Amino acid sequence: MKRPSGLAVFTGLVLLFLFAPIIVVVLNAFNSNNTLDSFGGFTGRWFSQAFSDSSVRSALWVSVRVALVSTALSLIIAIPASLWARRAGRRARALLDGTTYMRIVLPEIVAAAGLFLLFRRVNFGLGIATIIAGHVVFTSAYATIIIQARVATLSISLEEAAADLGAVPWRAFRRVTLPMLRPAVIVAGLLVFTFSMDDVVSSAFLSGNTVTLPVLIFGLMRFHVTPEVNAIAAGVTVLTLVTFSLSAALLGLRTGASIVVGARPEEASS
Amino acid sequence: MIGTTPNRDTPGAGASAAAHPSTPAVSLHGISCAFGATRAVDNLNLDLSGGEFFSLIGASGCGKSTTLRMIAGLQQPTEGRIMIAGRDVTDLSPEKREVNTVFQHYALFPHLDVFENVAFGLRERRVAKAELSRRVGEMLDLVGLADRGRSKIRELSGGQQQRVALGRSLILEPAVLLLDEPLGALDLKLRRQMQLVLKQVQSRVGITFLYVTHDQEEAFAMSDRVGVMDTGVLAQVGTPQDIYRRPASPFVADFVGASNRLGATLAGGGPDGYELVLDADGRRLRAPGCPNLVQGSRVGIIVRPEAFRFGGGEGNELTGTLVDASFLGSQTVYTISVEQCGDLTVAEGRPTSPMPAPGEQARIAFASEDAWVVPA
Repeated sequence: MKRPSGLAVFTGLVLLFLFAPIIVVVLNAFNSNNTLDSFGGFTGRWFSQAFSDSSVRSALWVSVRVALVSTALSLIIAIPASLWARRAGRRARALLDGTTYMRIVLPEIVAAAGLFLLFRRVNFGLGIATIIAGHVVFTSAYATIIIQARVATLSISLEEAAADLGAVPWRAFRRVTLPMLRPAVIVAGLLVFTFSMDDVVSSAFLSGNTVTLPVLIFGLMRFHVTPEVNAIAAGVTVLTLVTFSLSAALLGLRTGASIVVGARPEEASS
Repeated sequence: MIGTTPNRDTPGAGASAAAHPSTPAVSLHGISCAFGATRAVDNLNLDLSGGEFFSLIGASGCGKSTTLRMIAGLQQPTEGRIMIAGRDVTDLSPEKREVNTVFQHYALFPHLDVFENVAFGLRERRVAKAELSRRVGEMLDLVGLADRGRSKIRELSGGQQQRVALGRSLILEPAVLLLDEPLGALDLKLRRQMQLVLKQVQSRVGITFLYVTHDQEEAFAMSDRVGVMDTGVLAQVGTPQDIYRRPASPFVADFVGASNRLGATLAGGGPDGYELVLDADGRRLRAPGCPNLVQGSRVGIIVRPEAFRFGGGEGNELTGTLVDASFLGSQTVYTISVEQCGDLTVAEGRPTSPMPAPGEQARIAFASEDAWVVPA
């Protein structure tokens, strides 16, 4: 048998280091020993217990709503911004890029604390709306970068052709630009949804009495780590994995994007 | 390819431009387009009649594509008015103009199949479903893609994509179809084939074509009339024969094929026959030329390579040294160095007498009526 190379061993150790905590969490989610001292056999009890817990369910519902609205708002900001950037002058373009990267580079806690102080100052009640605001600050920046990259590959002549064939600007956007952007929009949407779903920092600052799922988990863990927390975490991990592999698959299919994009004639005829 | 369904009604026949043959399909009144300090197009005037195949030719950057984009509405002229089928469209956006464009790189919609690309404009006009599929079907027949309706754009060859672009524009029966170097991306053989397709389609649908190309042979092969552009200015408009045989300037003469220019001084006469004194040896000859040449001015005598005959004899004889002979298949091109005239290019299709070898003396002659006098 061939001896594994040093590099393979090193890679294996890094992967183990990265994934061991997740494996432990997932295993403990099925651990029937509720003190988690040792493995006492498989059980699905913690999942049903977690899901029947009304605080978990309401936190999950808050998180989903926040993530959905954040995703929608991020795309509504990112798509026009990306299209505008293409036509903008050099300085306007630099300004847009600057604010976009700023929102990513800026430590999240700074933005979150800033927004917290702002909302307090103007006496705006903390809740779902403020959490969404906190998320959109950075998620829209990620969405803009992804969609801008796609816009850069689009030839302006496609829109010119649409106009030439009688499409008013809005119709040209609907029938040509948006379908061409679709893979990037889907990827950006999935990514932003995931970011929003598992965000702790902004949510903790801006939630008031509203609790999102990550904030709830964070709170539960401060007392003790129960198998129930592991079950919630395992559930969130699966959800995240699914959305992320979806977006990875779509990113990989960018060149053959017609699988996603290939509009049926019925669809286009609207 | 074309003509598979000769008895079918021709889509596009009866386009609005044809309704009033006296009204030009396109009329450009003194249009200019400036980008900063450079004038890409400078005070251009041009009328295209209905059903005409007109080509604009010129080197890259001469303003021919800009002219096309101004007619399409994709570029705003800085001065002048644009009329399409008698209507002033200068301030209309592209989607409101009765023109369609075949773009240089086709600009087909990759997310739609062939059928939907061709149907794009009809859907914008909310054409009823039954009529839409009938008209798209006819158009696909016309451009020879009847069986490719459901193909993806990227599955098509360059020539097929070209034909989708053509069909997509023609189906809207525009007053004028603009074609921006549509064959530029194709290889030579396919170009020749597509030229034929374009010409046939144009004569069947009777729509005015305004064709932009840098390839003068292509323009000559297809066009009723040709306009030669030089740095934003229309240097000459005329039939291909006119442009080739009676160029208005040395630029036009050079641009539309190889030409020899002999320096001379104009001594008298008129456009039908100017009296000329040849710089090289002071001999006098008569040749037709551009109107309005001033007596005593310096002029150039244009002689096309194929107008020369070897062996001298009749006409105006020149003697020089044969420098090079290049066999090109259909003809052989000789370079002959004539004292005080420089290197002359002579093309010979099927030589009847034995040809001199490189380095030997060669006698060549041209008939006066084959020469053409242009300003120097």
